[in-house]
Amino acid sequence: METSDKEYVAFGEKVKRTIFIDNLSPVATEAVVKAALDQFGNVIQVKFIPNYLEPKNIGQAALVEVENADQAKTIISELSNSPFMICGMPRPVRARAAEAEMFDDRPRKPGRKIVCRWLDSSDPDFEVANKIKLTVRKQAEESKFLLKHQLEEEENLSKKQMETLNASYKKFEIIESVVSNRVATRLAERYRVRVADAEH
Amino acid sequence: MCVCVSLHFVPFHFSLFDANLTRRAYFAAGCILQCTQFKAFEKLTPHCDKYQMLPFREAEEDSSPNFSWGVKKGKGALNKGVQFYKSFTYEGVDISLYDCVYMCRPDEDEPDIGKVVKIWETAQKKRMVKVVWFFRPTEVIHWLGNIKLLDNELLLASGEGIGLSNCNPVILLQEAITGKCNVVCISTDTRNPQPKDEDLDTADFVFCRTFDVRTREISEEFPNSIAQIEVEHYFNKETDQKQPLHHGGKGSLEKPQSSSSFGGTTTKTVVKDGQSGRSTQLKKATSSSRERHGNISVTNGTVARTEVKYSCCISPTSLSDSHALKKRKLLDSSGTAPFEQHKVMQSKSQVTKVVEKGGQGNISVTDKTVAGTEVKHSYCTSPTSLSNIHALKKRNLQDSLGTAPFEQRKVMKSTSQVIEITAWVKEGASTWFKEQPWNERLHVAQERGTLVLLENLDPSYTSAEVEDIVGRALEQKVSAKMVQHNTFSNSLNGKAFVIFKSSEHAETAISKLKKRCLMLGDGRPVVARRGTIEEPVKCSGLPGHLSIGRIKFQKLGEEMRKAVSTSHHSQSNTIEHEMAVEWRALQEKSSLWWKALHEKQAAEIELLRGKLKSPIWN
Repeated sequence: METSDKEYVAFGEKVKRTIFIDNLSPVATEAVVKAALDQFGNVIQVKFIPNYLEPKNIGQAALVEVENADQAKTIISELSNSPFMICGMPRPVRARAAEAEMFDDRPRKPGRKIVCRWLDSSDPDFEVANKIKLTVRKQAEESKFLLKHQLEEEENLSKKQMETLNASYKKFEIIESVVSNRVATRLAERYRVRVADAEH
Repeated sequence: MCVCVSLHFVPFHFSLFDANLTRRAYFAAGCILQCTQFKAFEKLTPHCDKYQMLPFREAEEDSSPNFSWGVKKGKGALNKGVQFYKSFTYEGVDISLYDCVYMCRPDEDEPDIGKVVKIWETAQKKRMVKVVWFFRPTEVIHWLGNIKLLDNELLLASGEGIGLSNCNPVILLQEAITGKCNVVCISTDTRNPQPKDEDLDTADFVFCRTFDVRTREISEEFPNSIAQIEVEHYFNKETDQKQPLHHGGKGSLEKPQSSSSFGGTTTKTVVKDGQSGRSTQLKKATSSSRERHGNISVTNGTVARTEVKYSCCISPTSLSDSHALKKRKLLDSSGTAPFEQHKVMQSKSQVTKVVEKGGQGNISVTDKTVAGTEVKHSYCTSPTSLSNIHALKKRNLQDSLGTAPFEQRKVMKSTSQVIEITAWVKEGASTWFKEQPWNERLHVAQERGTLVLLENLDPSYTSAEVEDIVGRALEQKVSAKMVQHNTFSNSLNGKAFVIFKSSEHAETAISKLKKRCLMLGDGRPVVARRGTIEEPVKCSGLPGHLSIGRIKFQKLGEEMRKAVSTSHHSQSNTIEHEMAVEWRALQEKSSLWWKALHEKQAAEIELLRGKLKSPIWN
């Protein structure tokens, strides 16, 4: 199945104007992402990348195709400069330029030849090849471990922030109640301290 | 004024960006709460000359024996009492006109850098200097856009307005000149004499761009004059600089309350590696034991575990330095440590076990020695330290692997043939599978036992190519799908799911691939194993998406309407923003981990591949 050069080039263009977003909440749908990013530019298509190999709570990833490469660049820099949240806070989404390997329906590179051969145990390279295989396996394990570690870190941060948030909210409630039932004003009058009347 | 408590009571100076510029106004600002009304991103809050706000506590003019005037320049035109000078000496340091100096504030970690453009003594015998500022990249990060600056690059202030220059008395206890620094102009402007290589090596900083304080533009063009001084004076001097260059960073002026001393002498030679001048002007509370580059210690890992125990060196502040403040908090929160102790900040040792080597090749790297309280930031752990670690890792790896038994290099023609993969269609093959969406197919295949995962493919293969490969090599018609890369994929390692016709076929294929070795071009043996996909657990939220228990957001339903409202940038003076930045920091950290891991893995593979005697080429 040969593809023409034109198709391949067109695909390259498409890659350039696509953004890879991750750290998306699982509840985000395509429509949500599209609406969120429409503020920045013209979104043509949003496609989620299915996650087969990694544990589920790392957040979704999506490929967002926009109108042209410049828009893509602007969006990426905007999202990098200031945290942007979709469908939940405060964890911001992360945007990167897309790579060809992220796409599902890649065309074949025209003019490419693949060769391969079988190696038997008598072959001099066999041992090395086996070593490589083992290393690959080991690296897969390493990646898995690192991923686990990362998830733990994220959980920890999330918990910590949750505590902070709850504590702050409590304080806020206290103050709000104090203000709203005019206790604060009365106390202020008593102590002759200025306090604002209305909330901003 | 309002009771701006709600969620906005986060003190102002934690707000992200403008902290750097506005800290100059911090003292002047007084009440913190007032500041929360500023929308930090937009405003350059008045760069008040805070020096004029504070009462000057100058050393008495006469009783400072360390000060002496140098060459006179001329008398002031307007005010005859004013005497201009070309240079002066203070505490043994010669500072001439158009030199670059460090100016330090007591609460700030990093000194400011400025160019002395005027030196004079007023009629009241007050000694003043006028200094044009250089901006650090962190201070202008908001306007940088995509421009990449070198590690030790600065931007010269230009234009009119606040932030351009300051007039200070020379001797000021709170903030004064603390040393000379070597700033070289690398602009290609014709008026600028190009620096020699040695100059670049010994330079503390370089600059080639200006930052207009009024229009906030960054440009590589130099206007004809800045702060009424001809621009030529900002460029490099024509003649060789006679000043002793070792001054870089060394604070030879002792301030009584100085909380920092400028160490950084030893790292001059490192400038070459790209570990830039930033290291020289990094403050080190204890200059003695803190080697910035991290300590590499080789320990023997625990042998028993087959699963590799992992951890990476993390340098959180190799992110954009706007996170420096976050880092400050992280540091504080992780506890204070006495100066002398090396504090390993969120780094763990990396223990890898090279399986075939029997436990000798263990490498552990500890990085990031950061002292405790006083030095609050580490611009230091720049990516260069990470790359340094890599270099060391690689070297260690190579050393350890080098002791592996040396294979005899026999030039033997391999007996197996090279198979060329072309489009392959088995005769009589009809579409075996209904074209279900892949999701279902994968699940079905997994249940039936026909799912195989191939790894170590070239990531640029397409699914069709994989099908062809399997077809030719194993002579089976299969259905394949390359796994799309996401955040965690190693870019060298392509994976594909392959669905065979039946589980026996799958079994035979796997065993075949295990026993013999299917070597793809450029030395990639294909690794096959049973494919498993993770169960699709639909979780309702992502860690990090918080909500206050009593206020229920309606996340599901009404999504379209809420979409725009729930997707937003965070405002900078809210807790939300602060937390978001923490997440950002974590994200950056994690991407660094992954990068480090992938690089290391790539190195390992490369090494092994280099041992292949007869690699096939594409």
